[in-house]
Amino acid sequence: MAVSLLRRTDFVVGLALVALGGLATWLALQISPGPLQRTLAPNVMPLICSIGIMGCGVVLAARAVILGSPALLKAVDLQQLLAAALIGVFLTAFPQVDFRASVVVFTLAMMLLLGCRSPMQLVLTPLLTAGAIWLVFGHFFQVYLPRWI
Amino acid sequence: MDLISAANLSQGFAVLSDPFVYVMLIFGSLLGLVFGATPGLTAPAAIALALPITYGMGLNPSLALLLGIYVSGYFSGSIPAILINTPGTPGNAATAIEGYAMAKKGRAGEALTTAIISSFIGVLVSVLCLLTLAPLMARVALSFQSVEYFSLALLGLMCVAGISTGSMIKGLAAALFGVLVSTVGIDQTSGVPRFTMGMPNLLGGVPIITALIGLFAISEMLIQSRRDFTANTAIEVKSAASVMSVLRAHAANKWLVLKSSLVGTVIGILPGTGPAIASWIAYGDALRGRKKGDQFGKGEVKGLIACETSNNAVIGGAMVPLLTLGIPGDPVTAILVGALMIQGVEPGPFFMRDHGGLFLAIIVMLLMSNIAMVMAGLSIRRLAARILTVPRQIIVPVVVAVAATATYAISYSPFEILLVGLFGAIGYLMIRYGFPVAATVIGIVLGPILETNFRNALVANNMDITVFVTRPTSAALLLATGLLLFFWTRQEKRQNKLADSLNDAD
Repeated sequence: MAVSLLRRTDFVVGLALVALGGLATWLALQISPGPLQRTLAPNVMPLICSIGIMGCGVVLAARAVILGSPALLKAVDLQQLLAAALIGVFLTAFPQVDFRASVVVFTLAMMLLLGCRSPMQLVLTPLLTAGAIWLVFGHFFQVYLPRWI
Repeated sequence: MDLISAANLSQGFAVLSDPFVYVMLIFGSLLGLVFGATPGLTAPAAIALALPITYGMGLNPSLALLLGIYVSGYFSGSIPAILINTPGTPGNAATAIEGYAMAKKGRAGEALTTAIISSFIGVLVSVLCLLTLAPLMARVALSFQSVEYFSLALLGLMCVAGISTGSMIKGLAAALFGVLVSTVGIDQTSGVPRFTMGMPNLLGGVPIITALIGLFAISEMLIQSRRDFTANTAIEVKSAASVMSVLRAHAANKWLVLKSSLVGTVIGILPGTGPAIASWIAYGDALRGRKKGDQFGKGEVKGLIACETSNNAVIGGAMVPLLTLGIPGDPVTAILVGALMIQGVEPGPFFMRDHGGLFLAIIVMLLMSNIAMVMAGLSIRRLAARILTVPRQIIVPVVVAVAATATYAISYSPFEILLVGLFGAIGYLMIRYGFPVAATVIGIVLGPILETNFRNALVANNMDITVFVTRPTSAALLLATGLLLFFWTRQEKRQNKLADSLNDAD
């Protein structure tokens, strides 16, 4: 029974909400009350939200038990994980690396990861993307973009 | 007291003499068209990405850009709905039922032209309503106190559950999560840090634009990165239908057009709602009024007219609470709050008194955006199928690169770029498991309004919580919240039944 419940999307999502709400509630309880004054404590609104999220989680999970729910969806596949990692590296490196280089390398790597094999697209898209970003943000709107040269 | 003076009129129409406004309107319309038409990209994502580039512009050109995206983006979600049976935005889900059926019968050109004209009429009627209703509501809003503002924001937050196309509980959880996010940082009243985990970068809170870019843009790119992600094949538009014949169809259904426009406008006025609800209500209404010979579910033009008119009529309606109360009516206006504040303009009860000229300029620019949308839409009808075939191998890296640059342009902060990634991952998980990200966005915007007014109302009334039910306007708003929750629940059941019956009919 417990194993089959863990294969139902809404039951698992409900439990995740209870966990998230529980964590937020615990963190909200750690918030200092601040200077004593006749007003709401700073953790009242966070507590309302976190307890509300837990409540939503309980309702979702209970509904999945009573009414059933579709089979649990896999969160990500390998390609998505790699794409997410690539995006993470790009976002981390963006402020430190010359933006033209980072955009060209990232665009090329992501295109290859997603299955692009057209030489023309693989050459033109990264160059055009970096060029368009420079033109719009760097040149036209005078945004200071990270550059080495 | 006149909120709009003759001087305001000349200020409002002065935007027509600025050529840069026209350039930005056309650019915004095209950008909105491309983003709305590309499955997975939406008008809110386009506006969130374009917002940072408005920093360096004047007020009118930046609003022209954003309003151009807004109007075109809401319409162009109908293009993939009609040609590939995949709504570009949740607001076009009902459009797909009749639009795709028409396209399958070789009437793709007629369906697209109908969507363009219906959207145009929807915006036109709703802007006229904005022009007449906003000054009245602004007068009422001037008498509002914290108690009423709290109840109104609560109404918005509860209505936001109605945006949820799946489950209301998930909509509510998403909205509460948004409010929770808005509490991160130093509490303005007590000076106490909340949820900062000792990170100085979080003391100022989570920047809304950063969260928006992550939730709307990066999350969708992660969805499109799935190995088994497949784009549907687009139906070619072989012949563009004549505008006159489509206008005649609208004239023959004039009451349906008017009713759907008003439905969209009213739904837009309700804080926190959006086009998804409006189009389903208008479609359901058209379905109830069907006559013998109507072919609902099999390509009935009346269904398409109802959906698209109400979908775009939300625009004018959503601007009413934004400009008069400072409370967003839909996800895009939630972003527009930030856009106006970047330019030093605070939307709210004093907006029309202090910026009457700007109010009229917004009306003029909405009408110009509407015309630009029609021109752009009619011009690209035959090319529409090609927009839908842009491969994800190009869309994903380009959008991520633009998102990173746009975030960097706001604050030059490496931390905020990482926050974009974090919110992208959160947004992805939300979409994957059926939570509406739009609800979170509205929660982030409404959070500070809710908390500040809740606090101020209690302090001003000796911590007496009954003040929320003893003041008539507040009590009426809370009653409306309860009634709407009841209504949304019934509506959700009806929509599910409607979708099931149409699927069975197929």
